[in-house]
Amino acid sequence: MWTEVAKVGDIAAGGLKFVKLGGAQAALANCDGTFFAVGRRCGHMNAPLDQGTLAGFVLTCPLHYAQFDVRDGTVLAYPLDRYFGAEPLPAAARHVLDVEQRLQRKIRVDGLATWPVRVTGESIEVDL
Amino acid sequence: MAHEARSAALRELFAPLVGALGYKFTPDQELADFLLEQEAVLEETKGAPYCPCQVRTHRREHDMTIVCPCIPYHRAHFDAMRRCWCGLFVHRDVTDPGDLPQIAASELGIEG
Repeated sequence: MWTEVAKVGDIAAGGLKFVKLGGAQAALANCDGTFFAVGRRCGHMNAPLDQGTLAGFVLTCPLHYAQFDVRDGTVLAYPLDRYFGAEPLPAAARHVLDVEQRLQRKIRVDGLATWPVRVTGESIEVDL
Repeated sequence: MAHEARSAALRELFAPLVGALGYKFTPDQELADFLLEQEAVLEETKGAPYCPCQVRTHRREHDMTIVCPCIPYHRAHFDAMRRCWCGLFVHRDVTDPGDLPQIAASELGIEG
């Protein structure tokens, strides 16, 4: 059943918006005028993807930077589990990151659910 | 994760960056696909999409300058060659990348 979830003017190009789809949560993405709906929760650790960034069809999670294809929900990059900073870390911080890195490598990253989207007039509709 | 999907994502992410720098992907599609696939492998195994044609020294100051697209760190050198070192990117007015040789910065009198 097609349901209006937002207006075209609600999401700028390259933008993301949190919408509720019945009992589910989705992130609505505007890829240069083409809209896609994917599961709002990151397939890694559930971070809200509507607060991530969108570059073309690549959605980056704000928490550990896993990346997903908003067109089909597939995983495009695993989370960053390495420290790329310029300054050496204090021993205690390095220990915390080492433990986190070991744990993160045991966490599976799932793809995102997707829903069909269409634009009717000024309405963005999702097939629930 | 399929390297093919990651290669396509890198292409999507890099295109606007290099476009703003006056470059574009090489018209040699086969070469571009090969290099992007190698970068996807490097990213998976080494943590970042390093240039597949330059050596990592494990000194951060150096290694960060060869993360693709590395054009800003080698601007004078690449502008002189009208291509990046591995040839993934060429100046936007280049139509035949086969005419562009790889020339060491030292041969061009440029600090590399």
